[in-house]
Amino acid sequence: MKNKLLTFLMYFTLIALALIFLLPILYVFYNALLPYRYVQTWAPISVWTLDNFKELFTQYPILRWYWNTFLSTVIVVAGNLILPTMAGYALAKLNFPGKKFIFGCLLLSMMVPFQLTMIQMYIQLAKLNMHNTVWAITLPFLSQTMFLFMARQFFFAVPNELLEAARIDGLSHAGVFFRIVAPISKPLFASIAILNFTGTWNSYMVPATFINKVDQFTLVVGLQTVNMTYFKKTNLTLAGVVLLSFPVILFFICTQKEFVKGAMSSGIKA
Amino acid sequence: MHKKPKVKYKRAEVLTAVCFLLPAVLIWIYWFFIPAVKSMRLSFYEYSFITPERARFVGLENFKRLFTDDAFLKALQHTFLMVAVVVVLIAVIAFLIAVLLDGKIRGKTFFRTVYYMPYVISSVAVSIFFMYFFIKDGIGTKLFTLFGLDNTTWFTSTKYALPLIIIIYVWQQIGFYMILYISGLQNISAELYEAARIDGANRAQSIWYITLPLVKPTTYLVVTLGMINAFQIFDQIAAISKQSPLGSPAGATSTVVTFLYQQSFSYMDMGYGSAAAMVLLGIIFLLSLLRTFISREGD
Amino acid sequence: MKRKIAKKITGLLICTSMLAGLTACGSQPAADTTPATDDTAPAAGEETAEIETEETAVVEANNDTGEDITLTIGVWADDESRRLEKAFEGIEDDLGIQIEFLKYPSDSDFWDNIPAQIAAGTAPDIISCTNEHYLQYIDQGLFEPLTEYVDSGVISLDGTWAKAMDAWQIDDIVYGIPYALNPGVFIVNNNMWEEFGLGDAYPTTWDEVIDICKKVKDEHDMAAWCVNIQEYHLTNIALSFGGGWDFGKNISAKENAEALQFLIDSYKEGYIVTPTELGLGGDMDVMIQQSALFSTGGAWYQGGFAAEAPDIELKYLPIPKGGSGTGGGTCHSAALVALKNSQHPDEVAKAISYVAEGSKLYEAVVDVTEVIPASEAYFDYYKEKVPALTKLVDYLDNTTPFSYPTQSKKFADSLINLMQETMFDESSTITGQDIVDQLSGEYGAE
Repeated sequence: MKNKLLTFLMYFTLIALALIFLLPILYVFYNALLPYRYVQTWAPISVWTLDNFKELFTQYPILRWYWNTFLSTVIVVAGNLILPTMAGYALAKLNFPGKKFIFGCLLLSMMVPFQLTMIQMYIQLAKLNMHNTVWAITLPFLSQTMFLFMARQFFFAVPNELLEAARIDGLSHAGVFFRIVAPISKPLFASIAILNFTGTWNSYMVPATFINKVDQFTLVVGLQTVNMTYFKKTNLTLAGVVLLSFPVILFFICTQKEFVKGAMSSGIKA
Repeated sequence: MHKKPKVKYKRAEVLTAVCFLLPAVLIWIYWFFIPAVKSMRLSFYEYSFITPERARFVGLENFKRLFTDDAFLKALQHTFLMVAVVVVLIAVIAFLIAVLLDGKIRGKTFFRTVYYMPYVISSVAVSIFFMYFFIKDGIGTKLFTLFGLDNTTWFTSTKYALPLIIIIYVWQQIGFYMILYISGLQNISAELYEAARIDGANRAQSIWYITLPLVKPTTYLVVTLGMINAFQIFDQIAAISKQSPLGSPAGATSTVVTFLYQQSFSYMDMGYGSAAAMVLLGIIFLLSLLRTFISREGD
Repeated sequence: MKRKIAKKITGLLICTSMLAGLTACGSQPAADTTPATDDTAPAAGEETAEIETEETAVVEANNDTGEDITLTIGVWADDESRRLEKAFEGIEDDLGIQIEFLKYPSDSDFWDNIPAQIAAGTAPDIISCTNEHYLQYIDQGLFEPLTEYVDSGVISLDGTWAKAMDAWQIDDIVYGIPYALNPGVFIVNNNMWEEFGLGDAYPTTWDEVIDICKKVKDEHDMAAWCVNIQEYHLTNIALSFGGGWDFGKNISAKENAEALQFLIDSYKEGYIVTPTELGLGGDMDVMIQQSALFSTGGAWYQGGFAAEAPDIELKYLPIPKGGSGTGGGTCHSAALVALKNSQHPDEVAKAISYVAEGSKLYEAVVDVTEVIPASEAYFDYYKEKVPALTKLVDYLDNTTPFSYPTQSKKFADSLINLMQETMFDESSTITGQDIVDQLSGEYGAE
């Protein structure tokens, strides 16, 4: 009996939480179907319309913006799946002088607000003539310290016996990483993929500052330009949010199945 | 470091480490370190990018001005308050959700997606509808009146604006940290739980004695990242302050980051803004040192 | 083995390419104290000497039929970019100058980033700026003076409405060529007015407005007046009470205090609603949703309502008089401005002259955005094309420019913060006089 009660409570909590998380989002989707004058009010079904989406697709280069966002996101995620993970592994499992110092510097650097370094970064980009191109929003972000940190923490949990066994078998250090550790670190790669994808896809400040050509905008920035001088067309903005969110949600659903238990420990048995 | 015996480094290992670290470090140096140093240098100047020819070296004057600036001190206060509350809330809630979802649950994918979705939605949209939920007589406001809070528009109230930011931020970020915990939980072998169950432990006990200790690296990650990110909360505040000065209402939601943004960008006083960032950095650094010192003692 | 080697090679390749990229991009200078592009535009003070060289330069440019030059124009709003696009149509064929539009998501995105863009050399050549917060940028030398081009006849200011010219010509230096005007007006939702049976006499003083608010509150339990706590609206009301900031010299005037106190009291009585309280972005949102009857505003309401709520009829009245003032609101004027460090200052002048001298700019202003053009010759054109707003031309004479103190952003932020604190905090005892005294202390000028 007690078990049944506990299970019920558990599901109850989960569903209640789900509502708290879901309701506001459904509200956004609801508003996306309303014409401007009904935004933020309870409108009858008769005024619901898909016109917002129609207007977005016909008046603005939405598909072009989708492509820009997609391209930049794929490049950045690819970079972050490889570069910081390698670095994190080195910091976690390899021995070399200056390890603590390097990590300390990296950790400290995460505390510097981006707004501070943004301008200088932009000036550097302009010097390379890369502003207004996809490189402006990808190159500096191919390896983000946050994921380096994440990777390091994750790799700490990899049992050293595993590595030693592989080394005894004759693998080089690099080989241990690529052939043994990486395959069992699927949750890490999945996390980085999901979080980086979301972050880059939705990122606003960087593309807004570094890119000013309409055909190079990412989706988020492009949607922000959908406004008039003295007022914002909230209905279009929210319709844009719907368009913006769908790909990420899809990506999440596909990737999260990598969160499978036991990937780590199964290595030991072998 | 002085206590350790002299470690002999193997050449192959060091070489591999260098290769592994190089790309990340190079990117870091070129795209972060150099811009950061240049920006920090400006804190000793009175500087505007539009008129670099008028730049003046002022030494520590910007810093002196900061500590007598009420607006800055208020912002500092808000920042620390916010960070403390946010980190605790996030660490606890994200952990609980991850643990709840760890067992045999029907619809795991569904729940994971739902809890992650707020993180997916852009901050601007999130803030729009949160503002609406918390106007006078709004749904959110009504809910909280049950706990004895006033029925007033939250984000125009100097009392409730900051808590609103905290709520918005936590709501949005839980998904992120939940992912971290879920990932970390995967490393804990199911056999451990089995063994515990056989020994007669119930769910709560196994969480307390098995999960918590084993998930320490992840907790460290969550708390550190959470703290670092909380110090830099910006988007949500900008969204609810749109068309008003940052930190609306009347500076009730100002933080060091909004302060630095306002000074550097809106008022074009780059030196002053950089100085503010330096102060924040300095404080965080000292806190980290303190923490490492304390935990060393604890060992 | 193969996979291992392949992976190792990839790693090394990435390393080397990073290194190559670094070295190829050259050394990192110690500090960026000079702008990336060369300074071709003359400084404000060196006028007389420059005029002669500029004249010859202009003459040379006219004879130059060389390569196409591209000018960039910065815009941030759909309607703004559409009217400028229309205005600059055909410039490529006629003058060989190509126009490219740089878009910014919002005005704050533009102004916040302009220092970085100036430093990086990527700023637009021309922008459209309004006379609200322009003084601090002029003070910083962001706007390239156009006086030489005016004096040498490249740009003609004939027929431009005098007050607009005053706003853009400071100390005899021309900083912008005004092309659009917007008097501040008092907007009434006529549908609701008639529905509530409020009679035939529209209010001409603020006291009359309050009487109507009282009636509406008693009978319909709603606040009739929407006030967006923004410096634009606050200034309009201050001016209507006979106050105004006068570039910092008049901040602590009792008329300003009276105006602010009037707002505070009316709000506490429940006659005023602010957009933020309704979860909305601005006053126009509130008006479109018909959550208020009145608001201050400008001709931009016309376009917005025509698109989103054409069934609502609006009345555009002069701003009511307050206290001992004579009413009259702000004169909001938009001008084409040349930014500093442009690579082609002569072409910029030619481009501006092309659109201003021909009818293109003014026609675009009227046709695309239904706003009053700054050239008096086109006032009749406006009256003809936008009959609903004919009266606005007559209101122009009673308007005053914004005249914020030079540190206008800071001043505006402080003003808004103080008003918010006073209005939204029920326990606050700050008065209008306190506010203006505090502001005068920080931003006052002699």
